[in-house]
Amino acid sequence: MSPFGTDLIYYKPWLYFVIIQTLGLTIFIIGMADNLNFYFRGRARSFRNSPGFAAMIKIFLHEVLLQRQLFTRGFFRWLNHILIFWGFLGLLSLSAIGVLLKIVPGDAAFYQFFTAGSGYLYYKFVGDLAGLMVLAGAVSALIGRLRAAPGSNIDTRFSDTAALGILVVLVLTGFMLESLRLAAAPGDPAAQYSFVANFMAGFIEGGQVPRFLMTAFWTFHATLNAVFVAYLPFSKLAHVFAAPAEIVINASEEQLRGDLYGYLR
Amino acid sequence: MDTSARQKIPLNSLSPRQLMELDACTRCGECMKWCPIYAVDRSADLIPGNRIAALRKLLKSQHGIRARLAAGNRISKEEVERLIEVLYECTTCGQCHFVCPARIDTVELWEDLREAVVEAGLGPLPDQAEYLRVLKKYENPFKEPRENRGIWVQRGLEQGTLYRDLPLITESPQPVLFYLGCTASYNTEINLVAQWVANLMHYAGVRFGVLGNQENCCRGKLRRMGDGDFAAKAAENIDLLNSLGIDTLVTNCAGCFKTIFQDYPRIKKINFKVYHAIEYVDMLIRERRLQPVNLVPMKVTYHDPCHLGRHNGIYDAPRRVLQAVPGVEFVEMERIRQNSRCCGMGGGLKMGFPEIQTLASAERIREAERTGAEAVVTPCPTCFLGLQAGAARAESDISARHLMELVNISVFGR
Repeated sequence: MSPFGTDLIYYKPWLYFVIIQTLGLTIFIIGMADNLNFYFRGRARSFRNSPGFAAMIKIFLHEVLLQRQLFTRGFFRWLNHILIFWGFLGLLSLSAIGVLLKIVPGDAAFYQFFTAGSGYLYYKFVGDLAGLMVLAGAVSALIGRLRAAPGSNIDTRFSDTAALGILVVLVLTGFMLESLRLAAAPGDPAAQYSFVANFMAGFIEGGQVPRFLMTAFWTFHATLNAVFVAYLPFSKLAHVFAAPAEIVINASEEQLRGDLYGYLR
Repeated sequence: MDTSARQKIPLNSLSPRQLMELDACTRCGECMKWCPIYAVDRSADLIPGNRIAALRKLLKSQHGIRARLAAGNRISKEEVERLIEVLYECTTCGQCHFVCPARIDTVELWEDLREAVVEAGLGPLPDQAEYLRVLKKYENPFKEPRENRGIWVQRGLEQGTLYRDLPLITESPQPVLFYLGCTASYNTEINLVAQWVANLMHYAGVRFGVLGNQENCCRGKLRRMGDGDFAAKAAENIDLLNSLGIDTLVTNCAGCFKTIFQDYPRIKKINFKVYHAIEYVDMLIRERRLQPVNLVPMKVTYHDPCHLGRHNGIYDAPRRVLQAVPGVEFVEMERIRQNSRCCGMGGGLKMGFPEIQTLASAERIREAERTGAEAVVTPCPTCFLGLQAGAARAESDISARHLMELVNISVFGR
C-alpha cells in the first residue's frame, strides 16, 4: 500500500487539499519574499571581514546540525530543541517525498521503492520516529514554558505558545489519522513500522470509526498543515531560516573566537 | 495617536544581516538570565529578546508588505517612545551576544539601531543628547576648555606624581603615542592613572609622547549613542593620528581603545598599532623591561571591562599583570571573562539612567564581596569610577582600585 493508499479506506477531498496547500504555500512564499525584501532594505555591509568558509562549515556542523551551543546552556534545553529540529527535518523530508511521489511516473524506481519496495517501510518508520521526536520536544518545551516560575529565564507570550501548540496538534492529528487507518484496515503487514500509530490503533481496534469522521480528521490535518506553512514566515518560526543563517555568518565574522566558541576546545 | 508612520526609522545604517537577526531571535529567554540591566530594573521590555521582538514589530510595520497593509498604524506613540527608551537603557555590554544560541551580534545591532532612531529624530534621550552636544562643542564631556587638556603634565611634575616630563609628539616625534582620552585628561583622580602609565613606560625605556592640548576626544560616545556624526568626526581624528608618524598608540581608557582599535578601521585605514595600556604593560613585564618587585600584600579580585573583554577578547593580559605583582592574592569572582557582569558604565546608560547604572555597579560590588577580597581591581578608568560609586551605594567595605596603581606601587615602591 502506498502512503496515499488510504483513499481506499475513506474519502479524501484531494481538490480541497490541493487548494488549501497551494494557498498555504502561496502565503508562505509571499511572507518569505516580504522577509527577504525587508532584510535587503538594509544598506550597510553584512560582512565586515572576508568570509571564513572553513569557520562557517565547522560551525554549521556544530551549532546548526548538532546545536552544541545550546547544549552548553543546558541538556534539557538542547534535548527539546534537537528533537524538534531533527524531527521537523525528518517530517519535511517525508513531505517532500510525498510530493515527489505525486509527480514521478509510476514505473520510476523511486516510485516503486517507496510504494512497493522497502522504502515504504522506511517511510512509515521514519514518519513515526520524526513525529514522536517533534511531539516529545514540543510538549516538553511547552510544559517548560507554561510551568516556568515568574522571574525565571523564560518569558512566554501567545506567539510562543501558538508556535509550539500548532506543532503538537499537527503531529498528534497525524498520529491519530494513521492509527485510524490501521484500525480500519487491520492486518497491514507494515503496521509495526508505524510503531506509534500502531500502538494507538490498539485502543480503537474493533471499534467502528465512522468514515466521515476520518475524512474530517484528514481535512483538519491538511488544513492545519497549510496554516502552519503559511504562519511560518510571519511568526517566531521564521527563525527556522534566520537563526542558522545568523549562526553561520557570525562564525565567519568572529572566526571562532575562543571566548565565544570555547566549547570546541 | 500614531507617530510611527510619520517618523519612519530608516534602514540605511543597518545591514541585511542585522535585519535578519530580528527574525533569528526565538525569545528563548537566555539573555534574560544574564542581562545586567534587567537584573536591576525588572521591566520585561528591557530583556534583549523582547526588545528585538518589539523592534521587529515596529520596523516591519514601517517597511515591507505589512506597512502597505497599514499594520503600522497599530503601533502607538507610547509604544514607540518606550521602545526608544529601552534601546538606550542598555550598556551595550554584549553579554546577550555571548549567551544567545542564535549568535545575534547584539552590540552592533543596538548601536546601529540607535543610529537609525537618531536619523529618524527619535533618539537619543534628552540627557544623552545634551551630553553629546557638549562633547561636540567642547571636545570633552566636562565643558572644559581645550587649553586645559594638557596641563596635567605640569601639575603632575609639580606634585611629584609624574616622575618625568613628557614630550609633545607634535614637537618631538616619537614612535609611541600615549593617548589619554577625556576622563584621564580632566578628571584629577583618573589622571593619576595616566601618570602611573607614563611613569611605567618611562621606566621601561619606551620612547613616547603625548598630544597635550591637541588631543581630541576619541568621539566613541557618539558611536555608542548612535550619533550620525561619528564617522565624519572619527575620520578627522584618524587623519590627525595617521599624520603623526607613530607606529604604536597606547591608551589607558578602555572606551577609547575600543573606538580606536575597533571602530576607526571600519571608517578609514589606520597606520599604527593600538594597545590598551594593560596589554602594553603586560608586554613590558614579559620582556622584563618592567619588574614589579615590591610586595603589595592584598587580596584582590578582578573585574573584566566589557570593552576589553567581551568586545576585544582581552582577558589574560590583565590577569597576568595582576599575578606578576608580588604579595597579591588573586581570587576570581563567579562571573568572569565572557560572563563578567557589566558595571553599567557603558553605552551611554550613565547619562540616561544614572540610578540604574549605580545599581548595576552595586550588583557587581556584591559579587566581588562574596570572594572575600579587600579590593576589586580593573584596568578601565570608567569601570573604576563606576565600581567606586557602586561600593558607596552598596555600603561595602570593599574598595575599587585601578590595576595600574598596584603595578606602579610594586615597581616603584610608592
